[in-house]
Amino acid sequence: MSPGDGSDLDAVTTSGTAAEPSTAAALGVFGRYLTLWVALAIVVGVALGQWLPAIPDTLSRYEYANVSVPVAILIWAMIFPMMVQIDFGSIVGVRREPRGLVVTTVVNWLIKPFTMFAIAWFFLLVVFSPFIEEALAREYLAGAILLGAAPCTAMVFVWSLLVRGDPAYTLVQVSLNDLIMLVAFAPIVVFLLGVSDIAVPWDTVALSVVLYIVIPLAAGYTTRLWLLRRKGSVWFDDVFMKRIGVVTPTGLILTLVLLFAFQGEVILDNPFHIVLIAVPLTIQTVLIFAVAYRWMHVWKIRHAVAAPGALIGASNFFELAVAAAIALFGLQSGAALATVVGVLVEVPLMLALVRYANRTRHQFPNTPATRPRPAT
Amino acid sequence: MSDAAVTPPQLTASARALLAGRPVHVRPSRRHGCCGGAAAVPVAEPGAPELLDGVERFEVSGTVVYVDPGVVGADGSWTIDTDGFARWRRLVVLGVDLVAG
Repeated sequence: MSPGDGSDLDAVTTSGTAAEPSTAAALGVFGRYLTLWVALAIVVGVALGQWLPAIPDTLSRYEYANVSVPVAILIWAMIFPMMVQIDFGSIVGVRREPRGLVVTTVVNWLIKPFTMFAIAWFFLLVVFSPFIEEALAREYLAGAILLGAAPCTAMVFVWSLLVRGDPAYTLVQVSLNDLIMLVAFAPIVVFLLGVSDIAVPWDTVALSVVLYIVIPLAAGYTTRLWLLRRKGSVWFDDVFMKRIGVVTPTGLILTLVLLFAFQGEVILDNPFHIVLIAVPLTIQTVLIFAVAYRWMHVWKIRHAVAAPGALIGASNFFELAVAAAIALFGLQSGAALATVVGVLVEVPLMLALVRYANRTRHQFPNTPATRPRPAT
Repeated sequence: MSDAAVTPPQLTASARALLAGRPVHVRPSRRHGCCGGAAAVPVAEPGAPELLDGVERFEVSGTVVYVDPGVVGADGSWTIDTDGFARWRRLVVLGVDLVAG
């Protein structure tokens, strides 16, 4: 057996840097204060809807096949930059850390959507029933279901950085998640909405999947291949990705402003609902992290895989959830509001989990279980 | 970038076979988060960089390796290997950290 031929697996040490990366540097100003920007978007949107109703009224007139064109453009602006950076080629590394991939994939697709449904149903329709009327609670439940079926595909790179995760594993897990999402998102959503007695026609779900997953993914992949061939990978990363980086946050905030311009009455009538919706979403995030993290601990998976793997499950692909909520239930729906509450609590909650993961690093093996023995 | 000096990587036999005598360029590749922030993933690609400013150059077992500034953690034991099989084989960098993008 020759050294480094891929069959001789040996444990070697990880990289030499011991310091935790800076949260400020990793998240940037937008990410660090995301909760504040979302709160401001809510205020601006509600104010716009109340004092300048002509703006949302005018925008709502631009529809094609029951799809709001301004909203579709904003959603594509949010999602396309996330899709263009997916490196599907990294899927070939799927055999390198199979146990970590098994845990995260099972948690993401076989556990997370169903615990989200159960927890959200219990709180929104049982515990909080004195405070939320049933029809509205079911709309919030629908939003929670959409969040539960859309695992994180981009933010995980930042979470992985903050816990000193393994970059190669993170790349593989993200591309695997995106491939599964293409086929699993719609069936899971339709099934859980059906269980919740929320009728959504299959063709509407299919249309939202085509509009907000298939089209941006195909456009992103094609653009990526074209630019890599034409301009090279260094230009793609150093110039194109830098320029496009601002598009997603801008699209997200503008979408939220528009959404809350239509949601004004709901928010003004029930401001406390935001807190109520946040309760099951927070419990779900912590639970899913705990399940994946402790499972990896039992399997003695190294921390550089366990921590980002658990964070992938805990975090959500908000842009997709917001887009699907708007497409399926409309801008004024409770479902759309629930998905936005997910964005509102995301960063503080995930940073708390990052801190916990860093504090418990010593409980995990710190050397890789399988690493090809380097050639001499 | 780490203050420590970059050390030469180790190349596995399969990485050397894939490169077939070509140089390899290790650099950070930017990924954006959906809620803001960015991280750079270390990648290895066949070929030499166009600009050599600040780039470390090593020769490892007859293969020239260029390492960009900003590749953090390349001051310890790190490896360039391959993943995949047959024509779907690609280079992968092991033992180097993600860095803020």
